[in-house]
Amino acid sequence: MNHIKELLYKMADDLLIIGHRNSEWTGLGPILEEDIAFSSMAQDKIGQSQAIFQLLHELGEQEPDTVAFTRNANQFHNAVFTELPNGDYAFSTMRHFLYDVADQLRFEMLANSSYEPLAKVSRKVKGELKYHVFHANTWITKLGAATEESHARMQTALNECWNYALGMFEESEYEKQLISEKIFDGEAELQKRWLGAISPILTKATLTIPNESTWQAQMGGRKCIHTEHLQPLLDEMSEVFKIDPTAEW
Amino acid sequence: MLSETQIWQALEVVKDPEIPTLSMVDMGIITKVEVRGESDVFVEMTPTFSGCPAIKMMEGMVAERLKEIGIKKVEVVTTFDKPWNSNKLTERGLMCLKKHGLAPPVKHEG
Repeated sequence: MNHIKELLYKMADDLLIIGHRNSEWTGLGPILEEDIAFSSMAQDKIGQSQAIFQLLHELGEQEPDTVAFTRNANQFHNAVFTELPNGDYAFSTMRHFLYDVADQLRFEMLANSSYEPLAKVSRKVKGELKYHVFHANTWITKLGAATEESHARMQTALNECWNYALGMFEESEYEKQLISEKIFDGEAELQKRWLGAISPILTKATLTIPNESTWQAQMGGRKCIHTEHLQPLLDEMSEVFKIDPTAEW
Repeated sequence: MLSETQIWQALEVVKDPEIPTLSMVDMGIITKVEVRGESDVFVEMTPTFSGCPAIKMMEGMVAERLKEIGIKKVEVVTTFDKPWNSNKLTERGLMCLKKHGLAPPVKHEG
């Protein structure tokens, strides 16, 4: 069961952490419509993480709230990419694009998982992520090819995000077992599909993927090794919960 | 002992927290009702979207309504077994939406 738990933890943690980061934009978006859209997607992600934490609970892990709010950074399996500070809007939008395309493909693959409880949740979530990716694609193509400044800022964001984004596909020690049991087709396959999906959008946006010779995936997150940015995020996120973890709300 | 039809009817007064003209039954989020014995009812629900913040509240509303009509043991479970989509709105649900000033979604192929 450890292989399934590991898979679920990294997915739930990715969603919770990027959901929290994206929620930091609430009230700061460039226009109201975008502010609401970005916040609403952040809420979706936290809700999706809850659904995955619930699957973990059914496998014997603690209650979703306990798991979400009482662990320290060195117990989180999210990709480092998701915990990085928001930066400017270009960085956040680029991360949203690179992460959400990967996540949509991941849930599409998992909709056919032999692990039926996960397959059921994935069939629901992939439909929701369709809209997130539609949103991301729209902004990437619009900003990438708009003005000289917007293009330059989006290209900088892509360069900054790139190696961290590759870190999303850090393999698990259970990779072979997940593949042979037809639970998940694996990170290498996901990365291949992801490159196939983002490339045409980036081309349309006149943005260039960094030269392959410079690629250096920033891994560690899946093994609970994080940057200094994660713990402050967790402290803030769990501040209210920790005042009284037994409170009945 | 109440029949399943009677339970469905009793649940028709439980309204969607966001669209109070529409019942949760017509919204299509109650996916199963099972009478398990004398005064023992099981209800299955599915959220419209996984980030729905009102799930616990809606589970509570369903349980409360069934207790109101005298059911002693109520179990309400939320699952993604039969995921919601707008095709699950009943005909009456679509009319209620229109009355509320919302354009009812057209049936789609998924």
